[in-house]
Amino acid sequence: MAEVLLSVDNISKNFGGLIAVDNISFNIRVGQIKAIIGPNGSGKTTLFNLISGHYQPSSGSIYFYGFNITKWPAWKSASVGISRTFQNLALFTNMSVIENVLMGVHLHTKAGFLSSIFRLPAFFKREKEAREIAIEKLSLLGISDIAEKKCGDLPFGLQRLVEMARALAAEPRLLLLDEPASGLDIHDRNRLCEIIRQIRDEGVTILMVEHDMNITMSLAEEVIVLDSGKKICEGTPKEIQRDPEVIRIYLGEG
Amino acid sequence: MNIHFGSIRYQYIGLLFFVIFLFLIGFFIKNDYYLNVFVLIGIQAIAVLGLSLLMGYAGQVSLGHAAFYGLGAYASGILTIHYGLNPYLAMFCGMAISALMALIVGLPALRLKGHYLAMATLGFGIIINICFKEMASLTGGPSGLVGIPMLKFLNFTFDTSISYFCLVWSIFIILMVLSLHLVNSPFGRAFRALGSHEAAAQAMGVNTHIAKLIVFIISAVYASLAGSLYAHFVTFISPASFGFICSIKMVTMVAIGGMGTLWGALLGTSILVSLPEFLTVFSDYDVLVYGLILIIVMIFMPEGIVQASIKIFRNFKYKETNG
Repeated sequence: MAEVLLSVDNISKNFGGLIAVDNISFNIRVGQIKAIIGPNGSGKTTLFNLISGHYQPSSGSIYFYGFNITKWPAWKSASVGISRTFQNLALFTNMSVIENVLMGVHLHTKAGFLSSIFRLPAFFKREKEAREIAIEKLSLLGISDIAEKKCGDLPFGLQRLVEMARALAAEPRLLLLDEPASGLDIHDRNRLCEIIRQIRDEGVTILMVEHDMNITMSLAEEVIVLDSGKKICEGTPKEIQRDPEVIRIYLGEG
Repeated sequence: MNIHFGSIRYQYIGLLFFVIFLFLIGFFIKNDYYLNVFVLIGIQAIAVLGLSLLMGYAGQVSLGHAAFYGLGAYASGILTIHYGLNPYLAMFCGMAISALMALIVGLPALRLKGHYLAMATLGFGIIINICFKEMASLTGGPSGLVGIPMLKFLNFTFDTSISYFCLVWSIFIILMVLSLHLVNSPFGRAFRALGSHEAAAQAMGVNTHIAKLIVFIISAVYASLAGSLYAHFVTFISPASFGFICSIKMVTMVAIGGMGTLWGALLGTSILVSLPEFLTVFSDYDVLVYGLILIIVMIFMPEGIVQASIKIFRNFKYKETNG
């Protein structure tokens, strides 16, 4: 059994009276692809925001490599290797593609304020190195040809890939993908699956939320099913498909 | 060919043309009155440049920037007149005070999501303006502070319009270059990122709270420097020059010129400062014309004049190559 990367322990989140996430616990092991599924409003994205640090949990704890990161803000979680994409694209539309990806690279490059504004040699050296890494990430996803394009001008599918490249440029240990396939056509979906496998093979652990059952069942090694903020069951795709509770939720009570 | 107006090379070329333009103005305009208008544009443009970094890049609005402008002016005035301090030292003190004030105002206001900075700076601007009026023993009260010394360098006094023109625009060009470098660096990208999508910026490891605070302080320091330059130029300051209207004008200058482009700050300032000079024919109706221009710009080019012009130019290019 591989080492536990992320451990979510009895986590809950209330918005006023609404309990969006209700006492959920699970582990993610290093090198795994894990998926979270569930009907709309079942708390998947909230759970994501709790792990990435965009929301603070009402109770419970989150451990990353055994460290308690429960109260950490998002930027701090990002700096230790938790990277994410957003359900509705969150590119920096006022920047070019490569500048977006550079934002990820900068997480690990030091930038001197003075060397930046006075353009000292150190600035050019770092900038060149950062650009090389950014181009490398774009090539990995096969989109290095659009590096200088403005993000806002790109078709939806490409924007998704840019967002993925940006998340990868941050050299994450855990990559959170929030509905990576939504809005993509069948061709792009197949390509996405290949890319996600490729990322996993490079040693990145992946937690994804996905509505597309074909993608989820073919990619994920383990699946968590949520309903109304509660964890209904957890297991391999085969186990999940046989679970009576899951069948009830997805097919309705006969 | 693919044209990237964002790339820094084009910015340098633009800057070179602008410097040539300034040389021509300095060389050919002998009328002191018009030169003074250009000096005032330069001074105001320095302050608006800072505000443009804050609004156009980091996406935060300050409705009290005249307070920092005023703090710089009054620091220069008070410290040189009452305490006999060296004007350059006084200028530096003004910037330090403004930076500290920006820190105090920004620290709580920028922690909250939404337009709390706008609210906080609105109040701050009004309070500072009241201080200028009421602390009469230091500031001279509503009637103002007279006899601020002119700037000197060794034995040379900046007492002519043309000398001050050169001084102010040199400072502007230096700040413009530094600002262009800043927005095209990892720091600048972080500012632009948080202005574009705050949650995503956080996911990229940007401490958005600190980043906003830094831009706010930088913009306050720019405004303070501009205020000091103003005080040493006109040698007389009064609270009326640093009121709420002045803050609103600065915001308008950024909006008209265009968010997210530093050239917009320059263009917006040039238009709004020189407009009253051209509108003397409309005499009492100049406010109406001013409002009309703002409405037209906001309806037809909400991204500002600079971006709109670039778009028109791009479309023209596109038609030329494809048509």
